[in-house]
Formats: sequence, structure tokens, C-alpha cells
Amino acid sequence: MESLPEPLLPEEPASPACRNCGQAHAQLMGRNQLCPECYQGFVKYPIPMWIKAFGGGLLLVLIFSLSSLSDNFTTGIHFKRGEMAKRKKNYLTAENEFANVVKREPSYTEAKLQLLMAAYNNHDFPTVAATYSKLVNEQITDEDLLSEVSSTLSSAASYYPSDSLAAYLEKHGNDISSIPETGLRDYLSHHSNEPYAMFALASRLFDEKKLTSADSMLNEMLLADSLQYNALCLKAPLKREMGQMDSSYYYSDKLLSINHEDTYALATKSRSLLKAKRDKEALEAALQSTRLNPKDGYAQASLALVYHFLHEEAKRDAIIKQIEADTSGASYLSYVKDVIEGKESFRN
Amino acid sequence: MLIPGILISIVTFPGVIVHELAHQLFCRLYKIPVFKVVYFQAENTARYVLHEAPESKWQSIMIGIGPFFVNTILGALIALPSSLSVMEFHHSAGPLDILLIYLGVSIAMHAFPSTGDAQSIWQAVEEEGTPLWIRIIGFPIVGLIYLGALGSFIWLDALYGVGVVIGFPKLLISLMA
Repeated sequence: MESLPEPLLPEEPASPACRNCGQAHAQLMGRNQLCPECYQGFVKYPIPMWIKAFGGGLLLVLIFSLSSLSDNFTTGIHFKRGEMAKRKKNYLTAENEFANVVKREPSYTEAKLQLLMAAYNNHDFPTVAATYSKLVNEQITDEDLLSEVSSTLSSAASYYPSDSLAAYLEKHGNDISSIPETGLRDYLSHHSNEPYAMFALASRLFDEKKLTSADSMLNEMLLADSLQYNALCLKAPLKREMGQMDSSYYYSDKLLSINHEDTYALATKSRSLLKAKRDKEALEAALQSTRLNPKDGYAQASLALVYHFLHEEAKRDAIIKQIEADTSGASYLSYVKDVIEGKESFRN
Repeated sequence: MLIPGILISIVTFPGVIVHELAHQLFCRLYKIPVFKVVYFQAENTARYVLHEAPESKWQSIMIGIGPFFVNTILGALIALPSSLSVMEFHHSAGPLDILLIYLGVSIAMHAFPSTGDAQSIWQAVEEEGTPLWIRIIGFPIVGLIYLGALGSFIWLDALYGVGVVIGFPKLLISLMA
């Protein structure tokens, strides 16, 4: 760009005349003293045809480019939202966002890796397994991401039976619940640090109301791994049953500090609050839990319990109907019904 | 590696043309007479828009730095879908992606105003009677343009072009997410 501080055109004639066309004019414009017609002509300095054609070509490319943008852009936004949710430890949102990205871009390796990790943090193991199978044989160039995923996968191993336990389970029809307590104890005497077996035994003890023994077993698990999800999950209701409400809240909050969107943690906290007759807070936690995952049977059952104690029978029954529609919620529902029918004492 | 400027201009000619066209369009926007435009010439790197010096210093600055906005925005928008597809989702680049990314980079890398543009802004800003706030804005702009010109020896303009093409989609998505 070059500007002309001094007039470009020939010297001014004696009478005021346009320096381009030479015609006398009363009102000359600009530093170059041009008549309005010439001035306007220079303002609209013609753009050559080849430049117009070039500009038109660029415009066409731009329109085409922007028309194909929408899908990629939406995918990019979902991915970014997933990353943001992951950073905030909102793993449920992160998993949903990454799942959306993978659905749109099935060959997007980074999104699959992120989905796997988000699903792990939600303890959504079917998604972890399904995503892992899609990643086999894929080349991962991002070293940091690879190490993050490797660490996730090695942590995930503690939620599955080891090879020796798998072999032991085979003898019992692959059903750990069919192994008697003595059998589990016997197995653990030879494999003392097997989280899967330890948790199975702790759950058994909890179901049998052997709360102190279950607590000791969970303490052992948490000593080995303070973030063992299953152990933390069982600790919250266990402490509730033991009447140690502060401790129960502690374990719920611990779970929520790992994953701010842990629906189970919110639901179990709502039950502890309900038991402590902190009904308003219980309702809030239960509603938050069902808002996060409306199809979660445990969350729905917890909300039904809250409504029961708030004497909101219509709302309670509506939720029970919803749980009944999904067979996976049957075990949670039977407990709620037992409480409603007075077979189970939830609170005095 | 030293590559003659003329060769870079030829390879990235869309950016060169858009740069000069941006000056011209800003002149038209401010109704400033234009006397000659050289959009591109293969023989040498000289290209320019010869126009009347605007009365408004602000307009002088805007005409001088107009290509920075036009080239940056146009380059970023043209490359946006392919940049997302290739750089973000790691799709293999098809011919259209290569074309769009080439156009995007070559247009964005010519966003920097030239030292000729800086001189015009300098002349306008140093004139007597220029408001202080225009000087406060104008002189640093001139300094930045010269810095950019120095940076082009180490491919700063090319890095900027690539940065716009890669960075703009990320920025846009961050803002929209």
C-alpha cells in the first residue's frame, strides 16, 4: 500500500479545476482536488476481471468449505466439551460427549482413548471393554495419552478376576456367589491381595450383616489401594448400616471427589442423609443423582425411598413404576418395597 | 534456508492478491480514491495500492493493517473444515483438503502488513496535528510491522499462516464448547 501525501496529478491550473479531467468545478474534493465525478471514479477504482474471477473462485471455495463444516465442527465441539468435563472430573458428561464423538467419527483414535478413560472413571466396564476392542491394532502416537491409557487399563485389571481366580471360578460354574464364604477365605489365604475376591467376600459379609468383618476386609483393600472404587462404594452403605453417618458421608464424598458425577455416590449419600433424617438434603442428592442418570436403578430407588419418607406416595409410586419397566432395577426395587412394607427397617 | 521472496510470492500468490485486494477494499470502504493497483507480478515482489492519503489518520492505519484482518479471517475460514478433519481427527487428507489448507496457509501468511504499509502509516501518524491517541496506537503498530518483517527472515509469516490454520479451529471450538 502506498498513499500520496502530496497531489499525484499535474500542477493546478490558475482557476480551480479538476486535476484529472481539467474541468472547472466549484467544489473540488480531496487532497488531489478532484471533481466529484472523478473523485467517485477513483473511489470505485475498477477491480480487474481476473481478480473478480479469482475472488469469485475463492468465494465458491469458501462456501463449499463452510457447507461441509457443520459436521466436523459439531464433532469438534463435542470433543472439546468432553475434554472440559474430564478436566472438571465430570466423567459422566465426558463419557457421553466422547461417545458422541466416536459415533460420528469411528476412526478417531484419540476420542476412543478418551472414551475408554472416561468410561473407566464411571466404572462403565462394558463400554471400557467395547472401546478397548475397537482400539486393538491401532497405532497411538501420543505418548502422554498412551501412558495415561496404559495406567487406566492396569488399574482396571483390579476389577476383574485374576487368572488364578478365573480358574478357581471355573470350578464353581463361573459364579462367585456360589462359592461359600469358607471357600473364598481359603482362596484368599493363598492369594491375599486379590481385590476381586476380597470384594466378593466383603460384599458377602455385608449382605449377611457381618458388618465389622466386612469393614475389616474393605480396610485391607483400601490399604492396598486407597482409590479402590468397589471398596469405597461398599464403605458408604456399610458405615450407614453401622450408624457411623459421618464416616458414610466421608466415603460418598470421597467417591464424589474422584468423579463429581458419580450417580451411585450421590444416591448412597442421599440414603445416608435420609437415614439421619436430613430429608431436604437427601431429596436434593437423590434428585441430582437421577438428573445425572435418569435410568440408573439405584438412583431411582434412592429417590423413591426419599419420597416414601417425605410421604409423597404418588411420586414414589411413579418412580417405582419406572423401575419396574426395566428389569435391571429389580434388586434395588425389592429393597425399596421391603422398606415400604416394613420388612426392612431403614430408619426409626 | 533462504528462498527468494519472488519464489515464495509465486507459490503463495493467492495470499499476495488477497493482501492487495484488502488494501483496495478498505480504501473503497472509507471512500478513498485509488489511482493504481498492482496485485501481483511474477517478475518482482513489488505490488501496491496507490491511493490518496486519507484525511483521517485512523483510516490510514486501518487501510494499512486491513490485510491483517482480511487475510487472517479468510485464510482461517477457508481452511477450517479441512483443518478440523485432518489436524484434529487425523483423517487422511484428500486433494480438496490439501487445496483448502494450501489456500488457507498461503492467504493467512500474507496477513502481515509490509514495510511499505508501515511507512504509509508512519507518514500519516507523524503529521502535525495527529491526535495523541492515534499516535499511541499508530507508532507501536509500525514497530510491530517492522518486527514482523524481520521475523519473516525466520519464516514468522509462514508460521503465522500455519498457526492460523491449526489454531483457529481450536480457538473457535473452545469458544463454542
